[in-house]
Amino acid sequence: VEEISADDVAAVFPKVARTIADALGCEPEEVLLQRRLIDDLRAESIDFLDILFRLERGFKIKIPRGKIIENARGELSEADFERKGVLTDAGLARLREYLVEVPPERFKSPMKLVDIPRLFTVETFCRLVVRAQKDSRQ
Amino acid sequence: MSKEETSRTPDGRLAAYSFVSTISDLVPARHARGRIHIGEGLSLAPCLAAEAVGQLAAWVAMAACDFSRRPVAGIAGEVALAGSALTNDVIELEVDLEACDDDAVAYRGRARAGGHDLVTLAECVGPMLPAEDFDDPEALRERFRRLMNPAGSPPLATLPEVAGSCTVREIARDPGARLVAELTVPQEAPFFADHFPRKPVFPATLFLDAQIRLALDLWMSDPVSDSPLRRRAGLSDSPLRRSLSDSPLRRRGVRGDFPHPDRIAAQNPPFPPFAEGGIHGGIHGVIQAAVVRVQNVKMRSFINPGTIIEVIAERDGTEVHLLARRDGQRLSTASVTIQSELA
Repeated sequence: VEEISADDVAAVFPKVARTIADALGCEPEEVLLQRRLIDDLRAESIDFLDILFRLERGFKIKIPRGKIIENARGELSEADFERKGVLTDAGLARLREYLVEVPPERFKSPMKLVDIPRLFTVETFCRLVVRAQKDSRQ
Repeated sequence: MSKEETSRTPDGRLAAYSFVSTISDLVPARHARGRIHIGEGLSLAPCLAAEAVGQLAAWVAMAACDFSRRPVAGIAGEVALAGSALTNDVIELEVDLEACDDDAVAYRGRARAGGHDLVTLAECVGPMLPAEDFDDPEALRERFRRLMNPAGSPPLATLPEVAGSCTVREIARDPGARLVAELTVPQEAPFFADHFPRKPVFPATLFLDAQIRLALDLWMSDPVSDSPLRRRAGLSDSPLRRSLSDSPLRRRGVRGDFPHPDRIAAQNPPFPPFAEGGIHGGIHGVIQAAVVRVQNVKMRSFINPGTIIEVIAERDGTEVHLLARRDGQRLSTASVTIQSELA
């Protein structure tokens, strides 16, 4: 996984924050970098779709749905990443490595695939945008 | 007889809430055109024209995954409403899909008649769900094949009644500023058998239409900010309160460049479809209000038959923000832009 710097994140943060605020109907000041989308900003599944499409339009990038989990899985096969909807030890380790912006204590074991979005913070989306920008330049 | 059988027309089509008559120019997962053929003496409300655009996008998305998934109402970022009433017309539909996968379809599209846009939609997103939860995938395939036939389906013989699709009870009103109402979705209605055969839910477009009527009702009860127009119309500054849901006003004409004013004026179709708001007669003219734009529509869950919904409409300048709640939980949000003019 390519390194993403704090400067990279800072460069996209204001626009990502505005985008998330528009999608959630909240004030941009509420959208701080470490805020969790679900638990802190009350985002629901439809909001995740809304945010992704708004980011695609706003930054002129492509973010396939499921991209965060796909990126996290990386080279691991699906069977090595999760079994029956629960992350394997290797999958959980890989997820921790990928979501570096998420404090370690938030990763529970066992962790269900459906609970992964609960980990996402505003920074997760900033990093997603930065990665998509880097990918589009390659 | 099953629910699915009761809703079929003689040609086998589930018709109570299906509006696309034919599909052409299909570019799989990307683009399609379509048409609606409306039967003699019917007019199509703008919310149903918008629904038809969404249905065309749904057909393209479903065909792209061989009817294993289907989109449901989710987000409409921008809806522009240019015209309202139609009768005995052919409505042309067009959609462009910006994304189409197992999770979501993103699209824009429009409905046109006589070379003019009636409704345009942009930044729309529909979450894709298992099609078999809503309908028989084989029945969907068969309907799609029929729609792809140039002969398509016969003209729509009936259309669902838009006004009064749910009952509305006013709870509180701060004239011109805030309106709270309770909407009750019927337990039974013909469209439930078609929307959807295996999971009856209240169509989001009918729900939006009901909310837009409330927004217009709120707007028309404004005692202050429309004063200049009221004075020019020869009306007093007293609050003009008229409940659109209770009072079937009749339209007197059309706005803007809508292409068939003579025909529409002659036919005098029922008022109001949701693009047109209200008419207040004064000495010098009438104030006509219209919803011209709907933005940031977001549906958060399905609405089952019999559901009771609280709708809060709050005015902010020319916009009215709508929040719908069920059991205290957010159900949907939307904003509408209203324009008024002296006619």
